[in-house]
Amino acid sequence: MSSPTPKPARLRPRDRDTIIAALRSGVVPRIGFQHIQVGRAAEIAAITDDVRRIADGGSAVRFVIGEYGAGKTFFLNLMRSVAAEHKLVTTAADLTPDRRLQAGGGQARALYSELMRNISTRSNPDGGALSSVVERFVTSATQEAAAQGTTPDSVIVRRLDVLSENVGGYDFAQVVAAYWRGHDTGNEQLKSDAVRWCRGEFSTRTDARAALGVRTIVDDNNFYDHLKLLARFCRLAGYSGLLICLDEMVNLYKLGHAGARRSNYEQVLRIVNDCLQGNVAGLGVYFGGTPELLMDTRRGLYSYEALRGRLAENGFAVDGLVDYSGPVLRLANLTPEDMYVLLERLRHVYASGEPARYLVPDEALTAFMNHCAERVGDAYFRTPRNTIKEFVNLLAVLAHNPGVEWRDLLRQVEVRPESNPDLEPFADGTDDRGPAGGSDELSSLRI
Amino acid sequence: MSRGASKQVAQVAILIILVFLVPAAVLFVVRRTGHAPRNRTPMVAPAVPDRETQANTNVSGRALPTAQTVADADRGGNAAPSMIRPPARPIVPAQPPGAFAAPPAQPAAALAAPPAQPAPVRHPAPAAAVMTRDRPPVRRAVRVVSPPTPRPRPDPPQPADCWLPDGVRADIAGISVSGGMIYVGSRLPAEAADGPDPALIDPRLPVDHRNPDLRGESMNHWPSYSDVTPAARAAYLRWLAGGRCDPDVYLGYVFLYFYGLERRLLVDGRISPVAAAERASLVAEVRRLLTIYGRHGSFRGYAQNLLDAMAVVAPRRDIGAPPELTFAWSPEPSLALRMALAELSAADTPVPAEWALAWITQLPDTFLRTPATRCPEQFTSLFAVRYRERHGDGLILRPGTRSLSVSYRPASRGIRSPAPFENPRLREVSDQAGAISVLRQLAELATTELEAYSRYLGRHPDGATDSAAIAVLPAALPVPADAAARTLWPWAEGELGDAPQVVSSVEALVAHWADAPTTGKLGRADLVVLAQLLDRQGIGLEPDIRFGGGPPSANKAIVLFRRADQRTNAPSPAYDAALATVNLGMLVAMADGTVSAQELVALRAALAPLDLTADERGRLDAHAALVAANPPTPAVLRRRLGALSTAKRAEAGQLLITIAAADGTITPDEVRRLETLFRDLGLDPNDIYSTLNAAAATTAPSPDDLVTVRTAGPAASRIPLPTRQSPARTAFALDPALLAAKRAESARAAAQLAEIFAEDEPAAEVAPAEPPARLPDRPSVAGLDGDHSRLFHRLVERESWPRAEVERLAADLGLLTDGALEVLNEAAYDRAGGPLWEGTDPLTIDHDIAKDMHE
Repeated sequence: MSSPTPKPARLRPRDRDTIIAALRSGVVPRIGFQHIQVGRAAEIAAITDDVRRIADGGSAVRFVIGEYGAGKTFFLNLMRSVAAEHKLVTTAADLTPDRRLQAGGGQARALYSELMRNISTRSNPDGGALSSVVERFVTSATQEAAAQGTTPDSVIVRRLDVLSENVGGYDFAQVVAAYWRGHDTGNEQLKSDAVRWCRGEFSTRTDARAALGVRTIVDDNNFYDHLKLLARFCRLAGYSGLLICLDEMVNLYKLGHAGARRSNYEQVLRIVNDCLQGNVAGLGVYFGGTPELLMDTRRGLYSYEALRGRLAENGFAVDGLVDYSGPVLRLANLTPEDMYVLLERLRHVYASGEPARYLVPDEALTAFMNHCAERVGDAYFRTPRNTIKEFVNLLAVLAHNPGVEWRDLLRQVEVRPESNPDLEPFADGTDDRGPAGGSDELSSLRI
Repeated sequence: MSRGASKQVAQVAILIILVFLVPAAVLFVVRRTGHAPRNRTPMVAPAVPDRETQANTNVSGRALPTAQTVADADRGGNAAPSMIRPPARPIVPAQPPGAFAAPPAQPAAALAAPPAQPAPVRHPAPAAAVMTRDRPPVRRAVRVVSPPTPRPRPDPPQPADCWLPDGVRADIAGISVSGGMIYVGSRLPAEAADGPDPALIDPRLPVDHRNPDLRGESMNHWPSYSDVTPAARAAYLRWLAGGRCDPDVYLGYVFLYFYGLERRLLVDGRISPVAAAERASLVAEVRRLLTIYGRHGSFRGYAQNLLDAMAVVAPRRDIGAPPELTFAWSPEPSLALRMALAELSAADTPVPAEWALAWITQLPDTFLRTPATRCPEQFTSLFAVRYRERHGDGLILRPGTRSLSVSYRPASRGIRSPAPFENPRLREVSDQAGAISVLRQLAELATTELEAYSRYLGRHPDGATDSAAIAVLPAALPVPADAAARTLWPWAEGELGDAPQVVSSVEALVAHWADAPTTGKLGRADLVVLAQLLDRQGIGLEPDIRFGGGPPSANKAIVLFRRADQRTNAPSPAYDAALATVNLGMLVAMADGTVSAQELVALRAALAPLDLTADERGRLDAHAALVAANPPTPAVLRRRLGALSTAKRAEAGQLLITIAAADGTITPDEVRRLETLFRDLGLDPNDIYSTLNAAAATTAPSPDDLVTVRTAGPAASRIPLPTRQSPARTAFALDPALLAAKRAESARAAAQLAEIFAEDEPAAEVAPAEPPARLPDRPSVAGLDGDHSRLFHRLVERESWPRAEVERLAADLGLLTDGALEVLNEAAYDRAGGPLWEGTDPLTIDHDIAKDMHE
């Protein structure tokens, strides 16, 4: 159990700080997954295949299904970083009561806006990279124009001509051209309006027309079409494709109105069909959700017949046999052994990758796990958010107080069991997670 | 704990409560229902385990440390749940042992988040640490279930009589300490622990005046006057005597003093009306200390916590001004803010904009983007404008269910943690998710509106009054009084008068614009700025770069015109076609040397079917006037037309004929003009006649075409008025889809033609700004082109770059910042396997990667 795990080669200070800061506040870090991932090689191989397929102009769709604390969010974030390494543009958003796949009151547009805000590239892993994507396209257009002796305008129009056949494609091309015009003439307002349009932040057509001269906007009805457009645009801009992670799908399951739920599942079906049938190029969509979201035949995805057929699992994959090629990817909860390895990793990361600077010996890891087990039982490794948080806190105290003995501190560690907020019904129209917070809760660290 | 086990525990707990604690519970209910007594004695803490301790305290407040007292104190500590709970607040990076080794806490207060306390390194006090573990679950359940039960005090202890009030002087060990506010005497048992209170100055104890421990080297983390070394006592007394304001004193001495204030407020304050009366001066003293020692996070935490606790029980009704807009992160909104919101909610008063902004910016999960932090003033006003637009006087917050409460965690280990301080009149409203979400959207909106302005200021830190800054300043914000642009507006208004449009000259424009380039030549960027500046006054400018066309030459005319109410700031898809139509149409109209009013009407009629906004139509009129004022000479016209390819000439010819036939009638004059133009175009004039014929036959008024059906006035009869439709046209129905397609096709053709009407650009404007002179030509790096290589060489000169400077570098090289950075990093990943730069603002450069990229 105490066999040393192979250590990652290089731990950048920025990665280390980001990981520690994120874990201490109980959220999944955005970068540096390779340093703290534990196990799950088959799942990673499966998603890496997906990413390659997307990069080759294919498409992929997956439902990452796991219990509360199984590590869905971590897995999705890991997926994003794998995709970024393959030059995909990635983005992610949590579904909430205010952000849905299908709605009439702007909730779908809100989801689109959130996705656009979180767009990341390899260079910009922290989100906000939409303008980078647009500018990269424009930059390549200007380079091509310079090489051919034409104007960037005409290159942009020509290269985006392929988008015109898609819904909203003509206006999308207009907006990108407007971005270039804004840059060319020093018109910052126009540039910023163009980005706002791409982010889905125009709420009326009149405003969009006055600012950009386009007749359409991203709205509840066409937001998925715009995602497809964006996927094609990413490829035109020189990236391999677009990966979209939609987490907390359980919020659809929790929708009280059967009609609203069904229309959202219809949108899911549309995405599944497009991605499985290869109607889209360079687009991957990953959903994260709990088992009841998938399998509840009354309210879950299985309640929608067409989805049940597509998501049904391989009948032969039972009794320990697994099939990672289906659209459903199940994540198991952490085991105590995983937890041990994870604590090792955390200690390693905390010491900036230098074993000489380890703050606690191996026995402290087992002692810590025992302590937690006494307090909360199995929950310490099944829903390890608090366990990890307290462990990092413990390391922090030890780091700042060299004289303190870890045994003394261990007694004071208070771990509390977590409850699954997903199972609580919605309060009256309020969302207990704030709009900005709670987007990436750390459910687990097992990979 | 599994659900079944907890159920059992709960059952046992309930049984125990029923048997033993019924009186207490009844009492609790009584107190819960009657708010008033609770309000009057808000600081009364549940004191079950320590009751005997206090009962043992004699009337004078001096207790004999009997064995009984000690045992009780220990039991109290054991019974208390752990105080080493994970702090509810996010943890600050430097987590000291202080938070892990605090004195035992009462259950109600144990949920309080301890303020982080960076403090000298010490082992936790053993007594406190040992008392924390392994309580039997049943007992814990009892404690959790049973409410904090203030029991009647049969023998209330009297306030300590060794307190020296404000202004009383004392001579201690040869040092004269004036100012009072300290405990001096030989007996003052600590409330929560064994031994004397840490704050008690026992004059009998030795003091080493020769070697005062000024730097506090002998002090431990939880100092007590009776335990510290004589040298430390000397330093402490000196500090006390010296006015208690030496900012460099060792912090432990400040805490020793603070312990006394704390005890007076929390322990004596709840039993002595005298002490309650002096609360104001004690609070003022804490506030004074905070101004001197507030830079120490640990002290600030405790002192602010104490002030908050005192404030919540005795709130000021007047909420005053909101705190300064700070962008520092705090774990939760300050109490002042929460109380103000609670007061507003209690009074059913709308939240003023400034409080709403303070609220949203103080939330720990609000991260304002650069525009808000770079231009705080503008952000504040813009937020207020948008807030009032959306919510009038302001949001009215519904009172929540929880009372506003402040948990207090004493700094002194001699004091028990009191129950949370709360005021039943005030409700916690600062965590209302709905309102927060609304405010956040507003803040985001205001930030986005400020983006362009902020970016300009980032590049030109002193440029707040530049015309280019004013041009992108959101219209809702006032223009600074000393802005150079202010001279422009009166001139433009004067020129325009009441007319819808007026022809003026570039010279006049430049003469009235202080920020005009000294050469007198307007570049493209200047024209955008000018157009945006005039926009603010509702005045349009032609030529306008944003709507096509190049900058006017120095001696050419320009046109000012009145904008429509609904402004359009970027051309509609149909605008290009309309512009070409106007250009060509004006050529037709001007072929005979003058432009008649009828011709203008005909021109407008030709534009009627196009989908244009009123603003764009006004602009097209202005453009027509511009063409009339700057007529292209026949030579220029021939040159331009000659530059067209044959195919485009044919398209131009078609467009001319369409215009001529747009109104359904073709006059001989028009035909003559067309003939001239066709000859200039090198087309065969014979084509005109057949095409005209066909055009007149097929041009049908489309559904959105404006056709005069009847004139104003009362309707003469119900008989349909005859239209101009010829019998041939009524014979077939037009396919609207085909019509739309045709129109789109001609729009495309017109857009292609538009370029011939672009003014010749001054040569100087075309060349991009020269790259910095000291970087003449560096070798290309990692396959990057010239400009990107230059950017690379600039970037690697430093470790880190503010974003604004990178933007300036990129702009100098004519690159798009984000695009160029993305290109650089992609090249870095391809060549060296890592990113060249990281972060958003500032960007940090990885020189190892840069080196690898060179190879």
